[in-house]
Amino acid sequence: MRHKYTPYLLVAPLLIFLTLTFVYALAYGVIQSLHAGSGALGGSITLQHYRTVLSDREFLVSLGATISVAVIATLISNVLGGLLALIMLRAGTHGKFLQRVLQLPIILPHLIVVIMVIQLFSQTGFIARLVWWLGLIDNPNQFPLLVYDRLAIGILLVYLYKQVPFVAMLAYDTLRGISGKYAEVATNLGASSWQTSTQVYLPLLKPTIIGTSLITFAFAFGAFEVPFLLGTPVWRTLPVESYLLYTNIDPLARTHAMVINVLISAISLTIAGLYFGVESFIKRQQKGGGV
Amino acid sequence: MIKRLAIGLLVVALFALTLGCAERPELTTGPSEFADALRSARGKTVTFYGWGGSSAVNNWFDNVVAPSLLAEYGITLRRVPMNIDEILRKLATEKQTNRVSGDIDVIWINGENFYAAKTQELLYGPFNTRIDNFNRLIDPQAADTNYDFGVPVDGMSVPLGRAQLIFMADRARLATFPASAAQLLEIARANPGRFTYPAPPDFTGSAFVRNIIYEIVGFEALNNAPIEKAAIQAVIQPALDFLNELEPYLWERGTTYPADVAALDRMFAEGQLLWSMSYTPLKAAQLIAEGRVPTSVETFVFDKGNIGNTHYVAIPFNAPNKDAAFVLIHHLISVSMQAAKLDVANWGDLPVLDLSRLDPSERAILENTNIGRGALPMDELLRRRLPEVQARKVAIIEELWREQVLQR
Repeated sequence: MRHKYTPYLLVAPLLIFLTLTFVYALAYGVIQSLHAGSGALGGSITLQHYRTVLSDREFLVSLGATISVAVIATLISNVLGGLLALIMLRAGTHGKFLQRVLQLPIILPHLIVVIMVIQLFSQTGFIARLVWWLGLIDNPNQFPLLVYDRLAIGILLVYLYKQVPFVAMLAYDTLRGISGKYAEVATNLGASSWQTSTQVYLPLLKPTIIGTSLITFAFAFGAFEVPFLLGTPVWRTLPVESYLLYTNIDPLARTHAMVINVLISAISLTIAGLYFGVESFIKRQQKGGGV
Repeated sequence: MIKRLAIGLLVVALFALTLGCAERPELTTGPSEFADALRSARGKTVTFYGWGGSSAVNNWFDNVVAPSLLAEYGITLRRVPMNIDEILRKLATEKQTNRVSGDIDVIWINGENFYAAKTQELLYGPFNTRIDNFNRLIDPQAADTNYDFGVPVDGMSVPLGRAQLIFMADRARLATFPASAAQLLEIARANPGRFTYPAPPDFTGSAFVRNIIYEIVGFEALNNAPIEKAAIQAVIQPALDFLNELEPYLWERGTTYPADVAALDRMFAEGQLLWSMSYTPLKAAQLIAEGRVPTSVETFVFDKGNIGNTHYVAIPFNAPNKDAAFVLIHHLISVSMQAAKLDVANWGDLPVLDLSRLDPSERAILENTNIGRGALPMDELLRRRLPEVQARKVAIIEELWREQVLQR
């Protein structure tokens, strides 16, 4: 006899494991960040560490930089990804081939892309050598600094390499799901192809793009290895800052690392909440007959 | 009910306390004569706990130390790789639960971890003068025999090896190597953009900044400063000023720095920079052996000396085989093991022995050890060697460098 709870029982071990690790880690971080004094647990609770971190100039610079990098990566990757999806749609059957090609950057781990970016764009990388070979520069220092740079170009290149195809794939799927009838009607009514794109496809694409924007933002905001490997030491993103504080010898710095972790988690969870909100909103709209 | 529980707990606590007192590491627990240890340790297994992240180090322990320990003393070496913070947590738990006989005979330790272990009474000793080779081969007056990162050793550990900050440059591309901070400034000015250093808190970059502090204000001034930000800044300000004076001639005019020493090595190997640095003294030999840099690369240090640190072995308070621990430590600091450790093919770590105490044949063993191409001989390095300061000062200096040099 199959009970209606059987599926739940079957996934219970995994669910318990996932929940416990997540909840335990988060709770442990929260407790440590609130803990007065350092070392063993117990003792009183204080908001002092939050006050210290939130009023620290280094933290504010780091927060601003992290948000800026994430916003810029999100804007560029979603605009380019959306455009790419429209081009793929126009390309008809070639679009499907492009979709295959785009799977490659999505599969590649970020770490591999980091190495690719260093080998291509560093001052002794492939492009710098090419420019040198053409006689445009005569030593590596004349090539502009594109990785480890203060403008985070190297970091953004990795994010774009990974995220533009990601956005394009999802947007392309959405566009293909939309009946061609809307576009035909628009064309019959005399709309130019630009008008069809901006006034028919773009509004239909909006929910998908909002979703991918939240995902790309959350990733760029919380990523550690990319800014750690390609960033400048002049300013650091929050995850890198947290790691360096955690490995600092001063026990108080570890507590501050926990404060930053809790803040990163809070921001990421808010974004996740927004994502689910948007998703259920879209589902409700579609059920209600939609467009 | 609660009252009874409280009384019960109190009794347990008192009992634990008396037990704890009885088990304080008194030297009556170990072998009193080294000869006794040699006799009783034969046939035993000695357990060594330490960081296991380097295959070169692991190889030295497993394939050089272990076979010779068994052949010469009949003792089997069991090496357990574990990070030192975990080892100390394990020992602290055993201390709290009064575990009189533990699992660990010897640990590999230094710096802040040694300070923590010593203050929490997790170590057995003082025992160093009970080791034959310690008395015979090690200078009791040497700075690192008595201080580990500024912490008094008090006989609770024995030096195992020494690392040292070194610089590397290619003789074919740089005629004069900087022998002082002042010369570094001069040469960097003549070669703008071709020098830089890793940004602290990178371990090597941080050591370089301290080396500059020693050059400008001296080790004593920093060592005597209290562990407090304002006081340290007052002492090292001339050094910070020097680094700011150097900055415009560095790579990217000092607007940014390589984040780690690996990036520095890469830029050096690609010919973008004229120098690199390492806290591994035989690094040049390793880079040459790997074919990453030309054979004309040489190692050098400042005339006034370069910063170095020492790593040690110690015995936990509840080591089950203290006799075997004595013999292992005796063997680790023997001439043959120290020479094998110096060999670039094994580990490339500097010996802790006092060269003046060795007889000519023993000294010849060390001097004939293969340190590879491009490295400085060990006596030259040991002659130009400056001690480390307390790790808590290091963290403050890193913060000051960020505020006063990087972000200025």
